[in-house]
Amino acid sequence: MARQRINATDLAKMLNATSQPVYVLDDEMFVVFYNRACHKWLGPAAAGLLDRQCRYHSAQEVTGPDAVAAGLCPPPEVMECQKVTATVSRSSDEQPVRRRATFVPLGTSAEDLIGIVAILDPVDLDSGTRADLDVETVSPGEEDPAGLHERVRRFHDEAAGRYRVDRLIGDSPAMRRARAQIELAAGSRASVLLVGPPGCGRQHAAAAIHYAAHGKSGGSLIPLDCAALGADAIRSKVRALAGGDVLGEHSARSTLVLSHADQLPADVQGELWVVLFGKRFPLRVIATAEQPLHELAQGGEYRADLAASLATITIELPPLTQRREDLPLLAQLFLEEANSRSAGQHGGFSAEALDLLDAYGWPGNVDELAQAIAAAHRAAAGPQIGAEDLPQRIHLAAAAAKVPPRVEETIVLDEFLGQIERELIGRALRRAKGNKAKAARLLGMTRPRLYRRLVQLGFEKD
Amino acid sequence: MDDPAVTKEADALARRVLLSDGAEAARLIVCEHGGRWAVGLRRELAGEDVPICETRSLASCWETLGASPAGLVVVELTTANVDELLGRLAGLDRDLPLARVAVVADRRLAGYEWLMREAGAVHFVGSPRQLGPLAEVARRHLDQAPARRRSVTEQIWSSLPWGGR
Repeated sequence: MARQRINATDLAKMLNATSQPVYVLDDEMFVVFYNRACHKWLGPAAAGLLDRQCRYHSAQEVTGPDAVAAGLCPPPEVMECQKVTATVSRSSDEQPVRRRATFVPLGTSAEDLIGIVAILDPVDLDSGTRADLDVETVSPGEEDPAGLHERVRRFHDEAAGRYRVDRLIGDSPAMRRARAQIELAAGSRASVLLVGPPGCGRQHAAAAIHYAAHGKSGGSLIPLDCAALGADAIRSKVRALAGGDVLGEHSARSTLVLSHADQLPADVQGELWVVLFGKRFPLRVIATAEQPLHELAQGGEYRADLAASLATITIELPPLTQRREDLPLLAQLFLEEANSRSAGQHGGFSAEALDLLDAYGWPGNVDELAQAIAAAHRAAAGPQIGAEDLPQRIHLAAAAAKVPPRVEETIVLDEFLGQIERELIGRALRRAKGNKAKAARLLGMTRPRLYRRLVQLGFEKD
Repeated sequence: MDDPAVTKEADALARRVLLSDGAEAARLIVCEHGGRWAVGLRRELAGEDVPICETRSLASCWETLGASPAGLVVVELTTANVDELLGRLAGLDRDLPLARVAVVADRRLAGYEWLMREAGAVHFVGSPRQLGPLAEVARRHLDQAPARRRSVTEQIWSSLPWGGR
């Protein structure tokens, strides 16, 4: 029997004859073929598509064939040799046009995958001409690449505005110095350690550095909370980011934020140093801590090499008590933010309210101030925030400040012992269901003595 | 810089100040339509004294969290609740600074991991086989949750035998 020969030209003719758009990717997601129907669907955007790599993009400035290829990107399960149905999109003047696509992997496992065939439905999802393609029939939980891209883009747009350096409000010398340092840090890729008490704005400063460096078209800002996550979770996420596959070409414009780096478990510090600084880690690294890491290292509580590597640049953020002159400005900023989120509008603060705010200790710093202003905004009925609208703890602190603090708790011993005796006798009687002999045994006393104490304590009459 | 001991004390004070006025002790709150994630977490945390509460919507979940403001929320991500969850995460630091949110999802939504982390989720799980690390996150969070400080007399009183009234 003659060997059957596969004719590539005939194969292309077959695929070009169908009305269903078909395109083929190689094992590295480069477009190696698309048929006539696919070209027709994509329109002029198809020009230059061959040899483009399908990668998710959230950056706005990605245009042209790269953007087209991004819309055709298959879900990651396909790379594990799973046949998957998902949606693909192409850009139009108004909004993305979507179609359902079936992705067929060519291979039996992720290791021997040689390519992917994508077969699109003949009708757009948004055309409404076939009910069975209505978006509601898409299974809940089905990944929607176009939706994810759009959400990431919107998120970065909003975050880039929220975390501008000039929104780190304050005219105090400490804040002017911090802003200057943040702008300096944004201009380099050096690791940064942000040091300050809880609530002073470390996370905001980390985001400000990232968005000042890259703008809204930068990569992702990935926080890992070293206090909340265990060693295994930290280790696995950092390894995943180190591989470069997670964020792709966005890695170089992305930032890893190690929050509470001073609480990083000891058993992961060595490996982290190797992964982050021993090899070429693709992301920029920013760490936050309540105290300088070199101080912990000097006390033997932290690896010295990791402490030094995380703190190429150290920026200290002051507690609110060291920048009281910024309080009125910050309070007004938070009030205006609260106004923008709600129907209630309040113009400012009464003098008494400002005095109370100034007198309070702000152990939770700027974060606590923001929460207090948000609470006052909800409570206020008039055009201004008055003293009576501020949270109770601020009033209590002001009242407590007028009396000397009690250093130790005092107990009036005889009185307290009497209360305990009454309570225990009562409990013993209830446990003994009123049986005084049994209650006396529970209390380790004789029955006559119990009777005498019952009379003396007023449980019974003589 | 401040004395570290003073800084730690200030931190503890800040957490006490923020957890006040009858707030309940921290809980683990699971928000999902079915129940498989809660079942899995109960299995991982079997034998441990971890209070777990189940809710079926983000609204009821956040209401429960409001009563237990230092709690840990485990939310199941779906294509239907993505935008609402992103919105709630945006306000978490402001409204419930002691709370933390972990996101669980079907692996088809694994692509949302980095967006969710960036939005404020402390952890992301894309498979029921990853519940072990999630349970560890829950333990660490609840261990660190602030408790109301008790006076000497309260401590003695609470240690009396045979139960209260």
